[in-house]
Amino acid sequence: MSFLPSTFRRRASGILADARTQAYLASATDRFREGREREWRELPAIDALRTAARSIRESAIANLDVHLTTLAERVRSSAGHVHLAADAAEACRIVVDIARRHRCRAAVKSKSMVSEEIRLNEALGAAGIDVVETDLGEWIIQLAGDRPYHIIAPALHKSKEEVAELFSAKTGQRVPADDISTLTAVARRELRQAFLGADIGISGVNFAVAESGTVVIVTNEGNGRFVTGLPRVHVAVMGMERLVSTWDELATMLELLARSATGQKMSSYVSAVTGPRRPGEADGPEAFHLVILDNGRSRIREGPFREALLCIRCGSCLNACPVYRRAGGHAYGAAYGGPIGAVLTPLLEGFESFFDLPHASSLCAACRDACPVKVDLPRLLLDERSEGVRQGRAGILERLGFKLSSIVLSQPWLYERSVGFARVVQRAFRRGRGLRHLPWPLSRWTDHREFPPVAERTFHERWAEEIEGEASPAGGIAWSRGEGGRVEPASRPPEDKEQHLVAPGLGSDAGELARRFISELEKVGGCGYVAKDLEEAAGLVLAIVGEARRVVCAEDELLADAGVEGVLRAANVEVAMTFSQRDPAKTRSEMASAGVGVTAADGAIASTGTMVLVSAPGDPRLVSGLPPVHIALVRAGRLFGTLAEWVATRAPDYRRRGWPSAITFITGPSRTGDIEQTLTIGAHGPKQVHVIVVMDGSA
Amino acid sequence: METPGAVAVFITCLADLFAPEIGVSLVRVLRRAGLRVIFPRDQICCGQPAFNNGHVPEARRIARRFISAFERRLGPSDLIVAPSGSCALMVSHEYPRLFAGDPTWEPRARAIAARTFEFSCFLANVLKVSSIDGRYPAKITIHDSCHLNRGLGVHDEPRTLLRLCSGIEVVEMERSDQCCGFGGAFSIRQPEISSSMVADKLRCIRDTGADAIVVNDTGCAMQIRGAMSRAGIELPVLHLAQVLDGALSRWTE
Repeated sequence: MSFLPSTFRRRASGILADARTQAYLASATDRFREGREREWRELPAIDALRTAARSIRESAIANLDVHLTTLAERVRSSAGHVHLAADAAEACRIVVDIARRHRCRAAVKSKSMVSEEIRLNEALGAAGIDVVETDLGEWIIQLAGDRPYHIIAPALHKSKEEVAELFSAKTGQRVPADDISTLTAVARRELRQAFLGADIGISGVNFAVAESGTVVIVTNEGNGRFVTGLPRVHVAVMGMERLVSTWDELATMLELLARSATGQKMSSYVSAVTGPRRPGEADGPEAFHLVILDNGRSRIREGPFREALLCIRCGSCLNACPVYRRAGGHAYGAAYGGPIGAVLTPLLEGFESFFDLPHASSLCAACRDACPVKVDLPRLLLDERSEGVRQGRAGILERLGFKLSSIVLSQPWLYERSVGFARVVQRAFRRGRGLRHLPWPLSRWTDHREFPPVAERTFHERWAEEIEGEASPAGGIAWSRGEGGRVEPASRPPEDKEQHLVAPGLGSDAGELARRFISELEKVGGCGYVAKDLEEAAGLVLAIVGEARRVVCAEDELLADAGVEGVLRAANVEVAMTFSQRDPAKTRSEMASAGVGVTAADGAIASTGTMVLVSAPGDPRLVSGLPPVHIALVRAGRLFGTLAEWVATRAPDYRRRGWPSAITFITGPSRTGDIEQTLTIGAHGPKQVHVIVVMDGSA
Repeated sequence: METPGAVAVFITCLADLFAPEIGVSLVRVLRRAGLRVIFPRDQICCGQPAFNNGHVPEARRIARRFISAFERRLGPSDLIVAPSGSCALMVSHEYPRLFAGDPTWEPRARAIAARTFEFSCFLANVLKVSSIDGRYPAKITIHDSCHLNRGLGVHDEPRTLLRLCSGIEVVEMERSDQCCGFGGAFSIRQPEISSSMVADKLRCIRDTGADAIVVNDTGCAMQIRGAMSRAGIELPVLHLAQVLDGALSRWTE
């Protein structure tokens, strides 16, 4: 063991010298951070919202046992299966067993940090199961045989040239590197085949909602929807801490997640999945398995580092961290990087190999201020530093150094002698005003910077010799002391007691809500329309369908009332209805080949430009997912100001009647920024999203 | 106006050893305000280096000495002022935690913690300084030290105080709150990352075209000054106390 053991330093050194990766790291973290800052500024009561989110997470962790029991019970009552895994090996074994039991050979996977933590892909590969990562960034990483670089931007260190090379090797055709949208199109084509051919889908879990037994998967590309909607088996793997107790709590967390992660108000797709498909439904898995992973979390929960379990994996602390920005994700040596990685990895993997991670921080606390749930990361880092020392992981010279200095720094006479000694020694290193080439470990300072010499006279000496007795002038400063004693820092903003934490003042006026909804939808690249009645809405559908010849149409009351099918057929458009043919396989292939999918939305959320789609036998999940164009109708009477208002209105009904197999929140078209942080539309899901708000017949 | 007790200077070990002139200016400014200044001579270090590196028993040993050194000299209404945000934070926020549950030392640590202030916070929020008869014709930029800014919430105070002097133009640098890379032992545990961080800071400073930079933490000043002199940049790195002292003495000349 050396004086300052640091494998982090060794791992980071190559990255620091690599100008291209430094540029990628800087631009990615700047873009995410600036987006987060912008969205936080726009919220009227961000501080109160973060406090609310933190207490939701605190209570979830405090009552974890109760919530896990409820969650498991509700998943089972929705015909799902629940498995508890004590550690990584057991979790992998469970997933492999599920795949074998259902005779699955081809897996598609959506992005999941917990699967990185347990190294699930290696276990599946060893069991002969072919796994394809379907998040564009994760797929690039998989093709490169690499590991993710960032919690939400796994391939941020890859250039488009590298991506083109990987894609060329994969497809056997030369893929040009000049156009990122072409690269994305290659991935869309290749991965679409993988989705349609897979028999098992594996996802992570952003949040599990205990009250309904729902798992929530958040993606921008739409791959999460396909992984959970197309294969006949869906396995969701979650860290046991990733739950909230109610849908109201979920709404609060979702208001913060995307804003903090990518600077979006809402990610493009939030899929809330409750159990497998229901009778009569054309898509969704036949079997649903939830694997709940402990892997040290129970132990962390009992100890002094419980706060680390509040994390919602948004990656905001990585984007705020000046150390991550330079060292990159791999320097942290495990699945999680950045400040939260420096905290979690020693807890999950032990201090023996990761003693140095809590020291890979200047304790600047930018991470704490960037955390949506106010995790006090610098405090955790500090406490882990002392835990590492307590476990005897500090080097012998380090311990000796601090022991000796603590004696010198608590004995004035020793301190005085040491100062005199330093003045003599430093003469040998004096170059101009500063010191150079000091011996190790101070050489690590002087290799890069000048070290200041000990002053000719310390303040102690000057005080005694000149200052104490000096008759220095008074006057020139006017002041008025307030009450004595403690003053609170002046610059902290007062806590906002505003009731509406997200969108105050958005009333219930349908016209105003429609205007706001369309404005938010258009900001994220969708198209919004207002139709005065159902007839006008059907006409708009026809106009948007335009030249497309094949349309798949959900069988829904609103679409039927508007007569969409008839209007399209009258214009010689080939229309496939989803339900009346009662052949799920046929419906699926029609969804996959149609140019346009038409659905109704159960509701829409004005403040984020989000529509809410609820699965039912006539309303398969992927009418809105597989075709390249999606058109949705929504009644103006079903517009809500915020997600919380939607939940408050709709959840009581679902609590009574049971939750649908899938509720999908869609905000604009499918998007990705996984290649050189360039925004590209249509990674997996629709490239165009049109929403028609129908003002009439809103009853 | 209530007459305050004396102000005890908490010089900090880094300023004592490497930048005693900051202490000299600090005393002068406090005396200008009509305050009686004392200096408990048995003080050395607050224990932050040991504490931040996880060596808690060593940090406690140093902290006990610090507490006793001040207790002996403080009257009932005396306050402690330090020219460094991180050292002030250590005493005001970490001491109570460091001795939590210790029946003898926790109350003593709390008493000292409650009286300890960083210099600009003391002037702006405790004294509530309303005018300074000082002149300092210069364009000045400010680095917001992390422990001062994020830890103590002191951001506007140094700016307000500088603007009270005539002739000072405060020019903001890009991301003045970005860490300079000092971080105590971090600067030698991760020297490459640390020096890359300060290189960015120097770029932001130079982009302002300022005549001087104000840094209110001795550690950050060491890092920024050390990197500047290695890069051959001649730009004064000053503490707020030095600027105020200079401004006040110019006025009376």
